[in-house]
Amino acid sequence: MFDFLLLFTSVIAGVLGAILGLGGGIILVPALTLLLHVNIRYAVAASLISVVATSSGAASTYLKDNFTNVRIATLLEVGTVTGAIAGFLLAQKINSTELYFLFGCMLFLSAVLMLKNRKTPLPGDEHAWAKNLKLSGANYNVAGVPWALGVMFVAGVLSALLGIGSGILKVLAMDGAMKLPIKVSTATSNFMIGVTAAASAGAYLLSGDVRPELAVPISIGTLAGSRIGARLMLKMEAALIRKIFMIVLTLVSFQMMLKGLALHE
Amino acid sequence: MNKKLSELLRYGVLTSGLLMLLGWLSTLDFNKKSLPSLSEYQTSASLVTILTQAIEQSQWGLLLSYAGLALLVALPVFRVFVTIPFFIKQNEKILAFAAAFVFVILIVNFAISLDF
Repeated sequence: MFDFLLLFTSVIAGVLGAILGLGGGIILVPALTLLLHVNIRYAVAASLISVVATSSGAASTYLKDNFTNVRIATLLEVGTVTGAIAGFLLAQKINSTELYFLFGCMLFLSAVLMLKNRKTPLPGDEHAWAKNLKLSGANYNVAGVPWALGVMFVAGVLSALLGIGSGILKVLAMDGAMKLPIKVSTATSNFMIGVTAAASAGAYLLSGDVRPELAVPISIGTLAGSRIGARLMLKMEAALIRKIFMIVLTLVSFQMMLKGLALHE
Repeated sequence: MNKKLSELLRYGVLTSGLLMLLGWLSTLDFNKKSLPSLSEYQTSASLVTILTQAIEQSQWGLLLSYAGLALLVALPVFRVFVTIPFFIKQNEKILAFAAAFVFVILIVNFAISLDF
């Protein structure tokens, strides 16, 4: 019975994640901890596995459509993977209360960023590194490479600590600093999320913190959910759902922060 | 390269999903109402210890689940590895170095985690 509850929860997380353009992790971890009372460390480890699954599944589609810039991804993964190691080591020192509070803050940030309508940025000047490494595409220049690398390090740390893909930060860096077109930054971010999450998911798996009774139904559920969500997205009014979900996300973020504070007392 | 990477990820996700599904179905317990062992964090035994015990006790469902999980996590790592020769062939030394660096860091990260 509990297995099916897990499966159902993760299918819903996968559907919502695909419709809202968020990774499943940001929905899964609060659902597992607040609704199903799973310890946040197990929730983070299991969520990372599901993030690898959904990201790899989506990346295979984006690659076929040629939106993914593999050269940019290769360079930026240096930042995310280094950050993921730092995050995994930090996770061994940090306690559950601090994790709850940090997750609450990250949820709140995600809700605020959802308010912002993504627009294709005006083309920026090509950065010297982008020129040397031929990162720019046929119809766009790549700017602000060092800034983006810095944000990727932070994204890697947060991914390992909180069990999320940190796609919202990656996209922010690619839209804001690198001035990439929306489709390119979405596809490239998705492609990179798999590696970022695999860095810490593998570490959690080897250290024995990935519990298969939790991680397996969740991965199957989010994979199925994200496929359903991708199809539903074409028929739904995504803007309205985004607004409703933004409110829900804000409320859950406060609940997570309060749980962190309450456990601290 | 994009097409090859796309196929690698697609078939890898399908295979790992199938392994996990088989493992999960074979260990399914319809009477379980909660997982009390998951509500409190306990220091875990390492994966090597867990797998050794599972082999000794012939827990094939659990082993299948772990095989699926390991394959899933290995997919992006393998994906990084295959880009190294691709960039070397293209004479893109810096990008080949970046991909090799990411691959080495991933392996080092996994090695470090064995101590926790």
